[in-house]
Amino acid sequence: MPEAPRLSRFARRLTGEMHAADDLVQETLLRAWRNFRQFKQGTSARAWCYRIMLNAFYGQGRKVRAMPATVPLEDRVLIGATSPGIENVEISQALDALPPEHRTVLLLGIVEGFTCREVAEILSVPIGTVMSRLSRARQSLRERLTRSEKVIR
Amino acid sequence: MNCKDIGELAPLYFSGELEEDRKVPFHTHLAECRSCAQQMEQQAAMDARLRKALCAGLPDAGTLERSVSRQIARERAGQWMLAGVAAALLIAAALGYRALRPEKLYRDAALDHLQEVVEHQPRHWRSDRGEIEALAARYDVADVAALAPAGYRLEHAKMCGIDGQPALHLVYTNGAQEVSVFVRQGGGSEPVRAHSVGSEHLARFRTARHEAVVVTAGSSGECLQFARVAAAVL
Repeated sequence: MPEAPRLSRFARRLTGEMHAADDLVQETLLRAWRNFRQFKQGTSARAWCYRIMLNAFYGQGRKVRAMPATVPLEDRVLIGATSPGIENVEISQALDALPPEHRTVLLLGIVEGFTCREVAEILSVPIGTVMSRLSRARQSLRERLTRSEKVIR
Repeated sequence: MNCKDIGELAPLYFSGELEEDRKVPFHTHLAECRSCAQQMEQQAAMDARLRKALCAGLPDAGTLERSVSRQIARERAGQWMLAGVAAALLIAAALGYRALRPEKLYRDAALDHLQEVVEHQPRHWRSDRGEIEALAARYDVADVAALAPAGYRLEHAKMCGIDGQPALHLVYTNGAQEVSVFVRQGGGSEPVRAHSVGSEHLARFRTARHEAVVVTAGSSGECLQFARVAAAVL
């Protein structure tokens, strides 16, 4: 299971809570194993796993998605960012303030390193949709970070 | 290529998916447009910050992986057990079906008797006593003459196939009526039961070592009596 650590990182970012993230990764890996026959040879197995994770996450309902708001900021920073610090706190906060669809494309495209085509495959949307979401998400994140820097100064 | 195009293609540029024929005009525009170049630089810097904040090091998923492996092993074991139970049920059902519904055995025996005994279609019958006994020995039948009630004598015999299995076909006669006895090996214990196919009467039974069907175009009573005698011997 070479993808487990990366899936774990993505799950922690998605759920904002370590136990919920572990459950999500476990569910993802088990679903991948149970449904391996559905995997199309020649496509990205890694992208397939992320797709399963997102389906499992959004399939779990609002309870999981609502979790980040209830987790103390200190915990969230430790969960999401690997090296706590004011810079990471700012980025973490700015990222979490984005709408879920923007946050997801940024995490997949920038943090997890998927191409736009792969993100489109994971989210089952046209590549054009991914491109426009990424552009808007980047712009939004940049604006939030700029605002936050101005406040600090 | 204008500033709007650059904005639209930026995601492909950053992910390295920009097609070759678009790369040159894209870079040419960036070289000529300070605003777009600045935007791309800021964007690249922000992506780098995001990666630095969230990508430095990966969580240890060892415990999680072991837990998933254990679960998969449990499910695999469950699947094998399920497959085993399903196979056992299928075999039991097939055996049960065969035992409880011997219609094909009845049909085959009745048809063989009609064609080979009543209609005398040519077959390679064995009439020599020694040959018949040798055949009977293959089916673990010691005394073929003793299978028939008094008044009947063994006419001839041959090997045949009924219900997809080899059987010994013995034909007895009392001068007026011919009776077929089909014997095949197979354990069990079922009493003599009467049956009929068309105008032919049949009686079937199973003993510890044999299964037999008696067929005659005569009466049902004669058929049953014949089968009871044979059952006592087999």
